[in-house]
Amino acid sequence: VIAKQSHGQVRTVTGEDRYVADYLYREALTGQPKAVQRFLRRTAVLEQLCGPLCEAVLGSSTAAMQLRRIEARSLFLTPLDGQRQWYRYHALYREFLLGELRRTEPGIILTLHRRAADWYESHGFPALALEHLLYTDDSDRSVRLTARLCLPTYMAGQLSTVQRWLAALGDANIACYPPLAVLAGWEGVLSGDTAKAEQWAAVVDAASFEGEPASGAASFDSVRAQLRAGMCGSGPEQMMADAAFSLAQEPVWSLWRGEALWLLGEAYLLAGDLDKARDPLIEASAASAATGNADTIVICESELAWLAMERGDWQEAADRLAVALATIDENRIHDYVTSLLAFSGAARLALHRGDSKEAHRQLTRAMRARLSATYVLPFVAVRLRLQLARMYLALAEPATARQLLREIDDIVSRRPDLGTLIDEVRDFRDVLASRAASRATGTLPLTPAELRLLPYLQTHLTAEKIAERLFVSRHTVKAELRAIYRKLGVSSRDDAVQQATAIGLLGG
Amino acid sequence: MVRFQQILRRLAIIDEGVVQDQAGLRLGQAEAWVLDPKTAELVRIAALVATRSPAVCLEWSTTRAMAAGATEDEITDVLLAIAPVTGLGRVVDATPGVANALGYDIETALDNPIDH
Repeated sequence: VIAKQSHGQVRTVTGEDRYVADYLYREALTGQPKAVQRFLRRTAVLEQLCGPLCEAVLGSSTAAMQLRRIEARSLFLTPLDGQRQWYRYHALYREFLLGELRRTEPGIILTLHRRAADWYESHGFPALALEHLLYTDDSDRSVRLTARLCLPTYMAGQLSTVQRWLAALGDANIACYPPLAVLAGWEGVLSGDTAKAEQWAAVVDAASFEGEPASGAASFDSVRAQLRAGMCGSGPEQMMADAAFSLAQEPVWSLWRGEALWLLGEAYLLAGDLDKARDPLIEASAASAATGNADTIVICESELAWLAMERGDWQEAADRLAVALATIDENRIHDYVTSLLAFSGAARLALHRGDSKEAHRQLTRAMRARLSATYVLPFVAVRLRLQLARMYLALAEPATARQLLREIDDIVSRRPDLGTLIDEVRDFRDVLASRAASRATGTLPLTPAELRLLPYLQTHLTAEKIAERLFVSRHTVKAELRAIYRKLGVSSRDDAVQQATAIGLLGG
Repeated sequence: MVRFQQILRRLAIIDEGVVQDQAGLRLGQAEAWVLDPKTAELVRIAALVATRSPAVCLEWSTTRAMAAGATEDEITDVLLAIAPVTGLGRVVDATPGVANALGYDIETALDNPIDH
């Protein structure tokens, strides 16, 4: 077969060859007694195996012994720890076994996953339990467990895991459980997915829910108020009322209290009451440190640092930014929208210290990630761009400042009621206009659309294919490509990728 | 990449470095001008439309005007203002190039039922 496939050319057979691998695997399987074959097939649903887990999943008290026997025969098992308690199958072998399971005993798969979920949940591994539950038809239990795990998982820096769970559950299941719909709304807000945020906000607004939500919040009304406050669709006064309402509901031990305090602080900032904003922000940071809510610590410390810089207290600002940046590093939340203000704060501090290299590094970080700050988290989206625009103007790059101001206008057109932030934008616009006579255009920043296109340059997709993926016309992609080349000072796709990586717009 | 390919590529995207240093065209503005940079860039757009320049020139010039502080409305006003003297055809011709530079995907916008 291999010879036929390779059109008569001589080639080396490697272990990766599909036919050879399949053949070897099949040999390794069929050479075993029937009971061992069944054991291997059925335990393949597990990503990791240990004796007690196998016993639970197979419903057999001899499974642990079987596992040891199989390990002794080295049937593609890899030990995961020194004590030889946990194992996993070689990835390709597991794929093969799963294929065999689907072929021979498709009816049992759901049961196996449910048993695995039960075992993991009763042994204190709810996240692993959920991974198995998502394969079962028990959507009710999956939904509740997801609602319980969403916030702690997001707080631990794993927004992408939350996104995967929500996608696996599907919109219909999420909509059935309003406390989870709120979390889906937050997922949209925090990832800058405006359509999703709006969609779930509407669902949540229309929903009602009695009893204690599985998400650990005091009540559904409390988290609903938080989502409304975060999206700030009806202005700062409503935002303040929502935040205060939620704060009154959430007890000191609640995971959601830090967020309520943060939103209250932000509402005071929008009301122009900087002194009153300070206390809730400080308290929010402390409460979040106690509950391990990394992103709230980061954004509160960033806001407090900015307030300190406005007062001229550079030492306090430096301390707070150090906390924020360390928290970002520790939890690897560099791509969280809540981390952006820390980058712009660090840039301002670096400018103050005359370290323009560091300032540019932080500015580039913020400029690159600014796409995720959208009008569904309007006070962050506008404040961030305003801060960046001020710094670019100070760096004699008015063109970049103007680009940011245009993006602000776009956000404000959807969220016109942002309190004193709107006044700040107006004042800055006047400053910028008064410098209009300056001769230097400076280098131009990539627009959000161009930034969105940039990662596709690393692929082999043609302009047509990229256009399809981004839902724009081929002409637009081509025009944006030219603009990217021009702005990066290159004339080929490879060079563009190289240059973008060099200046920190691509890569880790 | 050999030299002639480099130059053709860079001309095709209007690389300002090549245009100024190698083609010897001065794109910047002399200090003595009374015209402010934004107005100068708007006038240049008008001239490009009038001479039926390729879309890439319009994109480039429009971007420069925006960077100099022109608004979208000012740029569309330029198109409207020169239509009587250039004729409608030239202005219509120029529209996609200008729209592209403003980040407005006019082709998709015209194809789709909803505005975005």
